[in-house]
Amino acid sequence: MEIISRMLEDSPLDEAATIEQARHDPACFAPLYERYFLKIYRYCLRRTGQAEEAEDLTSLIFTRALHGLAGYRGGSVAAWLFQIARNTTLNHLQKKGRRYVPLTEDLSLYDTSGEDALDRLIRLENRQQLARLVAALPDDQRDLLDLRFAGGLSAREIGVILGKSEGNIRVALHRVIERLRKQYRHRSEEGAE
Amino acid sequence: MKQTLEQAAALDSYIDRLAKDPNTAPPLNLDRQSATLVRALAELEQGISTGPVEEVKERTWQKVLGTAQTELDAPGELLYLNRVMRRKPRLAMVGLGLVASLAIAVLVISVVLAVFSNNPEPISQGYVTAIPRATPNLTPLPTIAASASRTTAFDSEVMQVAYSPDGKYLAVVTSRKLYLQDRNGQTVKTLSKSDNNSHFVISSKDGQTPPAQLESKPDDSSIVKIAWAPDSQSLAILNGVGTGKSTAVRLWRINEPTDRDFVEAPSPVTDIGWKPDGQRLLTLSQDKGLRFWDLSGQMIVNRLTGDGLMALSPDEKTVGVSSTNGGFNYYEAGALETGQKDALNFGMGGSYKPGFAIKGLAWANDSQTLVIVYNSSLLFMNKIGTFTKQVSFTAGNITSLNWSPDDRYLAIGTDNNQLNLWQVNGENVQAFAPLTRHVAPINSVSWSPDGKSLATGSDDHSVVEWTVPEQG
Repeated sequence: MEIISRMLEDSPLDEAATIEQARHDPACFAPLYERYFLKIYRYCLRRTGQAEEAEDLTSLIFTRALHGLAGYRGGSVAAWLFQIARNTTLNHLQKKGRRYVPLTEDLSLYDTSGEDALDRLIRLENRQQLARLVAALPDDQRDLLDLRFAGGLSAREIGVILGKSEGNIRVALHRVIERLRKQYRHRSEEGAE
Repeated sequence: MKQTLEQAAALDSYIDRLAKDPNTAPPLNLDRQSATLVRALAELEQGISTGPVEEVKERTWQKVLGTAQTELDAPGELLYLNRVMRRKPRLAMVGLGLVASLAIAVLVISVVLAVFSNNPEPISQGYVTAIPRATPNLTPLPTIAASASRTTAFDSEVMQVAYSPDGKYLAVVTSRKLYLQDRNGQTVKTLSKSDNNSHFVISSKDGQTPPAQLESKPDDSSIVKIAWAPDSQSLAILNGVGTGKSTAVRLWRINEPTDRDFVEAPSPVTDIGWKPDGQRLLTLSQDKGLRFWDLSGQMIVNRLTGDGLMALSPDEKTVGVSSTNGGFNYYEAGALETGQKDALNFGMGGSYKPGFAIKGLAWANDSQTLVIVYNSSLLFMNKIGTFTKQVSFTAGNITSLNWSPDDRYLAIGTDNNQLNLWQVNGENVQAFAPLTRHVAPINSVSWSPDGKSLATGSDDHSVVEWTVPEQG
């Protein structure tokens, strides 16, 4: 199923033309939904930490996108959709009085099939340690990671959303990775001692 | 710097390649630890099993499509979240014992479970769903629902009418004065500005309360809104400042000779109301602060909500708050008052189109239904935040609305001078023939507590009292 989704994500699709059709018939939005659902859902899941909230937000984001097709002015559909996603998620978290909930506990959401028990344990432990480090990052840096990895946006698309250049985004991402790398190593050394 | 840029580009390229092939090898110019970390991050951020996600995907698409195909008066402008009911699984504890007892116990538990499953507990989860499209029957009923029993002329446009909760008085706000009338239509007290605008003057015609002078703030220009305290002994008064609204709310205890400043909000107040227990005044301000005040005028709590209208349900459990941009939110009142952060909050994001806004909110007296006037539609929402029906209104613009005490009727004033009475019975809404007596837009409607009379105030300087016949 994931392979099919990936094929759909990568298949050629005239996104602007699809949006134009969807203005007359909402059902025509389906190919774009198919292409971006998982990215948006992953992003929401990362931002909220809860599957139910992520589902609600995802439906709200796509509904807003469908109702706001007139607001699409060309360019990257991914950037446009994630602009909506980012605003919706930020508003939601602000209303809830929450900043960020790290997704560390609900391990059932992760695909760990095909691993033996020990591999799985080590992998999950490492993942949880990394999740804790990510959770401790400043919000803008976490947002950057979520947009890049969970949302699957390119540096150029993130730049459009955040109003920065592609180069700036690349360097910012590099700095976050570098910071995490140092912290991860520091924790590992502490653990070894 | 150049090295950083190269590393950043290599890292970026690796992330792109990983997204397409999780087993791709890292580029040579990227250090091993960074590559490992990037791979771990990708797994962390993307590692969701696809099984449940496919279900979510299908479910979400149905919701999105359902909402998109709902035609509202302002297509594409209104979004809303509905609270849904979910049945919580309940475990039945069945002990071991005699076979006959066990059979009886199972039977009893089955009945209990069936009862509980019909009373699901709401959970904090929002779904985007469509308003039912069934259009209520708005064919005018043949009978005349009400007849004008008395018309009283006033000095200027009547902006608001409000029966006191005990039914003894009808408060009438004109652009110049506040009148208290008894049920015979006789004015017993007035509150008005002095000739030089320096103070308020209370005059009494009942011979019990002596004329009194009230200090008036220089910026008090006219009364914007009044709200009877539940004990019918005092009125909270919101004054206007020029064309805007004041930050101050005054309190007039109708049997005392003096008025006084009551509360002073930090931002102009847009709406006022009382908690039904009479112990708290609520104000909504342009800074979006919904504030609770005690009777000494001390602010108890301030929560960021909206800057338009507010409506507290009679059971004090929920507050609906609108914003001037057309948005609407719905809160658990208790959580708001105690300052809890997790107050239920379902947004109905509105458009930012001028003129498209929420113009009225009215709770039914049983707290089961909130009616929202959205442009030319009435949206009916139940107590858990689900929209149950939408009724388009074409006979002019709605200026005011009010439920009858028994919630059987909805009185609607319009800018085309008509009073409309709707009979609301579950899913059915039926309209009586519009009532015409006013010759200018109606600004306010108010039911008497016994449900037998209805007062309307209009730009034609008059108040009409209508008698509503009892319906079988």
